[in-house]
Amino acid sequence: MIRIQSRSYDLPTTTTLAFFRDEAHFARKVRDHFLNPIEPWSRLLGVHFLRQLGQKLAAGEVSVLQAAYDRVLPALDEGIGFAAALPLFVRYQAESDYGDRNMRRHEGYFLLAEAGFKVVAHGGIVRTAYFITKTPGDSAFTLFREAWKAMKARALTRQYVDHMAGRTVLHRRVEWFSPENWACCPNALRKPRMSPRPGKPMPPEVEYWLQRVDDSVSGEG
Amino acid sequence: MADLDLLQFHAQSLREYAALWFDQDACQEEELSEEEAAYHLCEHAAMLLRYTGQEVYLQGLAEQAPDWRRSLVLAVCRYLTGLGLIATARRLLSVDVLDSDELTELEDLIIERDAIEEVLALATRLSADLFHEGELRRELATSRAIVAELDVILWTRPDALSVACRVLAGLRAQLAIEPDKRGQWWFGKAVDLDENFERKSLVELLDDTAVTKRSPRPKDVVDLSSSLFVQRPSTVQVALAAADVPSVLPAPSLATLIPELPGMRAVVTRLDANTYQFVFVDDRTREHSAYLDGHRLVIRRGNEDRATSSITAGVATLRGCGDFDSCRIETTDGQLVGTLVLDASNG
Repeated sequence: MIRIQSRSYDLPTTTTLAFFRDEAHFARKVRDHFLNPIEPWSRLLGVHFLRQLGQKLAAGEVSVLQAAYDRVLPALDEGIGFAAALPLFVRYQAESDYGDRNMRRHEGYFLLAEAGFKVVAHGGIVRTAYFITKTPGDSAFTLFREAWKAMKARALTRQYVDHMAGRTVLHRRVEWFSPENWACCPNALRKPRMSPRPGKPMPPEVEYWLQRVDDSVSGEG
Repeated sequence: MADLDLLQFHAQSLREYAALWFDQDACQEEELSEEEAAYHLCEHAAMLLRYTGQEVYLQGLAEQAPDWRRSLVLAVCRYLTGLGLIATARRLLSVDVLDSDELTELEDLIIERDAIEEVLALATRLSADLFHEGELRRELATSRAIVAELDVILWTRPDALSVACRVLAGLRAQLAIEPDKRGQWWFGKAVDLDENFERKSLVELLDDTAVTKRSPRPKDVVDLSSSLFVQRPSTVQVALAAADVPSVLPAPSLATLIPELPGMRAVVTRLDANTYQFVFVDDRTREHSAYLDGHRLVIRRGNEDRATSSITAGVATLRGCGDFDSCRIETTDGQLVGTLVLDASNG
């Protein structure tokens, strides 16, 4: 059995998160995400490592899960650390109504890692981490922006109700850390690197168009 | 007025991707493909249009020379051939009950599906004057077919979909242009399913879904032309999703099988009321198949041939055909090769 580890983060109060519930939970995430060829985990965990992991798990060597856990944990820890430091995460409180006055509350987090993956944690446990990828080759630049966009979409839906598995979940009190970073995508961090050569200029009519777009959304158009 | 932050995000992204599209060296440095730049350039322009209703947000693309627009649209189509969302949807919907984390993932997938629709609509618009070119038309049809496949998978689980689509309520509120509720089902039908479910009693739901409520249909005629775009969910799905009418697949394209030719499918796109495009696709590679080139595609109503077109480069376009109830593939001397007929029991 793998040894489940925890780390503490300022979210914004000190919060301890365990990385996955148990071995079975982690194994499912390995199958669904870390070994998923659509998601670019190989950029963080290494192609060779993931290939071997996949081969060993296919051969029934579950003992390799500990090595996988040891490899995954630092990547997720770094991602959460980035989101906590910037900050770039969402904290929400949800109420689950199971009927018969059986109401449970829990606190959860959506965190955006610099590499562009999203971490979901609630009940003191990191539940999942995944890239929102349309194609396997999506760049880090795009992954980050798309993940930001998907999380931002939730900001526009202030409160909603889920009905699932016989219970009703009401998402209440959604807090955005920081409001500035959720108002404007923190582009400086993921902006394409400054090239040593001057960038190729855009055609004048395109530059003029983009300027009009900028003016229009800044209220000056 | 849409959320200013949202508009500024799309405007900033538009500039970033435009700069990358015009500078392929910069693309390479960022390990970002030209297809990725093209797709996201279109996405952010289309989003600005839908949140403002102002054409200025498209001008820089729409006023470009035909060659430039062709290359942009073809790059978008190439990007969509690598779409990984189909596998993600299959995985997520393979479980009977999605847990909250899987539901979050499904919500993210629906947000991406929404964006794809805007990109495809813009790509179609940018290339409207270039449709006489077979390649462009074919590539757009293939992209549509890929997205239709994603929709088919998603609509196997209207119960999960109706919940996941609620996440888009905030984006829906920002729209300056009324969405097409059939095409953009995440803003319309999928949400309506859930609302119906909440409003109505079980008795009402069962009554609504009773077979007798459907309009009678002549037994000897099955309208393939209309049925191609209609899929009725199972009784269980209907009850779960509380649909009061048969579930209508929203996509304007649908993949259909040819029983005589296993491994081959035809993707049918209704281009307008009387025009249908058939793209023949190899099931294994999902690429166009030229296997049937030189054959004729014949559509019929009853025993009467309505229209005929030869298959070229894996595509046949049939115009002015009106309603039809069957399709057949023939050799040039009229020998039957395969049929594309809807089973009357599904009607």
